[in-house]
Amino acid sequence: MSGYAVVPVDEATWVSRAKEGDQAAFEVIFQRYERQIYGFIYRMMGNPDDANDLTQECFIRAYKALPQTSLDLNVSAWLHRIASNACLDVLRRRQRIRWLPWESHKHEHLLHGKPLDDPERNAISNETQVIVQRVLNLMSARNRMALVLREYEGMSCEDIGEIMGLSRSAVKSVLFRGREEFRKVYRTVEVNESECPGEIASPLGH
Amino acid sequence: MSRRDCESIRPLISAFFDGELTPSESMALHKHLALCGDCRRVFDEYQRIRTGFRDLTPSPPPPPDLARSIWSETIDRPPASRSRRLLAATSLKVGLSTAAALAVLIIISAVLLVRGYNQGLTPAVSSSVPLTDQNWPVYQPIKIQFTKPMDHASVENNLQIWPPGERSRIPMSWDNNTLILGSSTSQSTLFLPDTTYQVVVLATAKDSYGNPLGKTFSLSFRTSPIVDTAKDSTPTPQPTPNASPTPGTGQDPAIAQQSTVPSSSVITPPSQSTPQNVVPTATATATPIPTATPTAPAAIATSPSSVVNTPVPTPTQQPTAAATTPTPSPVATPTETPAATVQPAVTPTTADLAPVATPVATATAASGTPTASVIPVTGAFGSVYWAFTDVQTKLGAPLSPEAAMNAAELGFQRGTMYERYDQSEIYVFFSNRQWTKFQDTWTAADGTGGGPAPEDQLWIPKRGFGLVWNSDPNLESSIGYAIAADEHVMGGVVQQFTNGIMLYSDQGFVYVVYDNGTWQLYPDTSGHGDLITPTPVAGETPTSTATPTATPDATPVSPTATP
Repeated sequence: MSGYAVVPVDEATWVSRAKEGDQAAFEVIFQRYERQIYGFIYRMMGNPDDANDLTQECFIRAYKALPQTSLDLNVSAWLHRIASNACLDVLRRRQRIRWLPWESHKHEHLLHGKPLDDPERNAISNETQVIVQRVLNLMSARNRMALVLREYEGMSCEDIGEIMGLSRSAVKSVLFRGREEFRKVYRTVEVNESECPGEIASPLGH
Repeated sequence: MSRRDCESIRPLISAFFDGELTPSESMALHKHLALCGDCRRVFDEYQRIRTGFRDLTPSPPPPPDLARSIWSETIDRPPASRSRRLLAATSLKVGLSTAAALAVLIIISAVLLVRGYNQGLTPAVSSSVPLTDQNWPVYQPIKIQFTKPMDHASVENNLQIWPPGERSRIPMSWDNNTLILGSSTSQSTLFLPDTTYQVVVLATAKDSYGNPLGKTFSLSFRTSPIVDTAKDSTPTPQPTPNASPTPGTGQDPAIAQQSTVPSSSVITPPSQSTPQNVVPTATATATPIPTATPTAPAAIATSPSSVVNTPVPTPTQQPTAAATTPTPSPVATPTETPAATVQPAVTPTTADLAPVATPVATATAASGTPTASVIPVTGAFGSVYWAFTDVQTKLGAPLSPEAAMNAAELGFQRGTMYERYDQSEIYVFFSNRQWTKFQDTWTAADGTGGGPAPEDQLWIPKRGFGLVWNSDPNLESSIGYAIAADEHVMGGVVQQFTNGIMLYSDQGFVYVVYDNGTWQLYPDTSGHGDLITPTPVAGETPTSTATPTATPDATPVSPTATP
């Protein structure tokens, strides 16, 4: 056993061990990506409850899919792909019942009860941050995803293509559409803010 | 500007932010933005989207029980196809605990063994993004990857970024062995556009086992300009400051000699820009000449045969090297110098390499001193003067002890301004390693002046600096805008030498200002104990000091080299 341990263990090694059923290896992969995936889903969904549920779902799906993966697995892209599919599923279901617009508001509301020095509160209290997340929540799921991957996670168009199953040029255009949508939604959010400060009307405006 | 034009341009704006533009698309975008206000607004908005995302704090950490609930669905409930797993599942708790114990054991033993393996190795920088001299987008963080785990605090304490002021503004974080500049877990920042950066990790930075880096790492790059019509006229002048560095001085703003890792080519340039300087100093001080050679590629030291090829870059140095030959004898008295304490440190390293070199090395160190036997060069200045023999050569002997004075410094996109209040003199240091000096004529009656520049994070300088900046229209294109609204006022230090001065900036830099119109920047390593001399010199000086010895030994070779 000491024989292989001397060689610094790279990701591919962990993956192949995890594929063979090595639980410790899966744990290592989980620990390496838990935060990143959670953060990504948090931005996609805009609240910690969904982030919890979907991170859990993502890693469970990953665990089950592991034996079928190829040897040269890009773990980051693969996990993001699973996570984004999980997010899209949920968002698609919710869009039908127009649940979404209220989410950010509700989330903000949750924070009101928190003590002032609560780190989570501090983290989110910043006005711009709240608006950015609110705008995200109002965007179409695919555009939102591309934008989060590009601007929040700082991924390259190539990686995004791999995650979303798109060609490079398709990524470019979904990013363009995403930025345009962000701009437009941002305006409506701003208008709503100024019209009735404090109380946000359904920003979709009906 | 027709609507159709805009429609075709908008996707290009987006692609610009993804770094996906072809040169011709980029040109089309530039042209269009120069004329179309609407699209400029869109450009700004895209940029603000990016800033908005970058300013998002990281999401709250996943709850600790998340892992547990995932285990209960995965590892604890393994796929039925595997009989080995099934067995584990039946023995449930017991199986789990043994599996966990085994896992822990594997990890611990792996960690221990890897650690033992790592412990002894000297750390180094294995790669950087960008590479030296690359053009770099302002929004892309810089990555410096080390070969092994580093002591984060130590690296950060030994990290310097030029232009001054940027060190404190740019957030940093770590991803395993990689240092990331420009983004941290809580924030990320755009680099300044169209700016020459120099990032230095000092040789004293330690890995997590306490082994020092040993060689100073230096990386220089220039950021790409952000498209902005207000500065549409600048692109043309801008190449000028850049043009001169590229052929010779390369990454230039000059911690040059130390940048061992990124490219050895960095080592050669300094001599090229100052060849005229080398010669006069040589004649003046006579002895320090051997130091002229340190800049020559290290290869010379190792294989005499290569000497024939290497002299090419600096023909001017060859005569000086020849002049050296007589000098080695005077092993002199290194102790003459008050600061001589430093020199012994040089000698041992040299001796390790080639015993022959030892006398020469001592001669070198001692040689600078005869003229200056009583005037010390210490502290930050000493750490540069005694560590870099070419600085000694070019600067000559100290004429007076160092003197404290009030000073101010202001970083610019492609240079800095440094004012000595004792003389009301403003030095302008250009990133192409030229400098000029202005008299500060500013009085309160002139008004503060200054203000924000057309671009975010950039300013028009105030007061005396502003007056100078406004007086010469070329300065805007050569050094660019100020990178802070106000100058940094500090206690400065100056020391006069035969051929120039040294100026100290408390932002961690020593400016070596030569009378011939060039300058060099060195990190202040004096705050790092007595490691000063051995570390930066270790890699380079011994090899280079060995050169003079190689010359006398291989007498047939040096003549061929000289012409």
